[in-house]
Amino acid sequence: MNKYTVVKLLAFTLPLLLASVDTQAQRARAAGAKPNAQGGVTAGAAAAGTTPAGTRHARGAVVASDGQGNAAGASGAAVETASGAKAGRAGAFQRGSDGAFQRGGGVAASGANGSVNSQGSVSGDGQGNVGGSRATNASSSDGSSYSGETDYNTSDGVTHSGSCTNASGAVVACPKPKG
Amino acid sequence: MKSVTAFFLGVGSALLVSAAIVAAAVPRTTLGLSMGAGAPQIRGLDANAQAQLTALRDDALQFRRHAYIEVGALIDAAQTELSSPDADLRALSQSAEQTLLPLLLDARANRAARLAFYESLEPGQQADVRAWMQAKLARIERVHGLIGDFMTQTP
Repeated sequence: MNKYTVVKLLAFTLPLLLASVDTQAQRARAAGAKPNAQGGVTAGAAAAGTTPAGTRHARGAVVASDGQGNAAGASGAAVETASGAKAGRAGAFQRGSDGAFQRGGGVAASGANGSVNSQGSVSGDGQGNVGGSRATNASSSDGSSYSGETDYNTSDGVTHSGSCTNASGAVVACPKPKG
Repeated sequence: MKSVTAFFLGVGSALLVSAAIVAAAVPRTTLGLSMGAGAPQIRGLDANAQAQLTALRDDALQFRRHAYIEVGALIDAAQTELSSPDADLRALSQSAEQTLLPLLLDARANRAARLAFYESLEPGQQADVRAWMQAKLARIERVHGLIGDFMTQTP
């Protein structure tokens, strides 16, 4: 079971769901489960709609197994307000029959005040060794930006690094306590 | 005065959300509960559904670990900042939001996958899940009641 298969499924499905919703307030929803080509079962659910204020939203999730004890899942959501602000999130995980595990996810948003995106991931070998990281980038409408990363693993603990730039692109000290 | 109150309420809210995420992120073993106690007993699951349930449970566990570490780093940074005479609480609040909002959205990802799994179950199996949820809610109700008692008894 390749987690990227389900991620791709969502990546293609969510924009289509979002595009399929017109500006009239409405809601559509679907859920179900069926056998997949890997010999397992895929269960999924999706919904999309608009609010009376004109915000469009879509979300979906799948979880699938392959008949060999492996399983993977993914989910995502996207929203767009009437004023044009956008936000989206996506996450995926995969677990092997041996207990090895991977999960990852990200969120991105943009609006009049700037944009931010953050991606995190964690993996384990099923033997107690775990490592993970999160990277965050943010930029404001005035041109300044922040970039930071937090990493950790079972043997080394947690490390964090971050940097900031001003509107001219020059590296500056980050506001405490980010740096 | 109102804006000062609102500011500190904002910082306080961020820290309260931190506390809530920490509570959700604490590995169950540290609370004296076995990992198995966190999973519903669903009758009649086939091998595929059992593999999905195991993966969903592990995903939730990995998220809690991930959140626990990130919130721990946030608390360390906050403690360092608050010990400074010129502590920048506005930057602290912003930093908390940058950590907590992605975690909250990450938690939604697992919930959405769990709901998709639930909706794929047979009605009897869904009833098992709901019974498990009701048992968990009963425990939360007891904690909620204790907090209410504490609030009414505290001057």
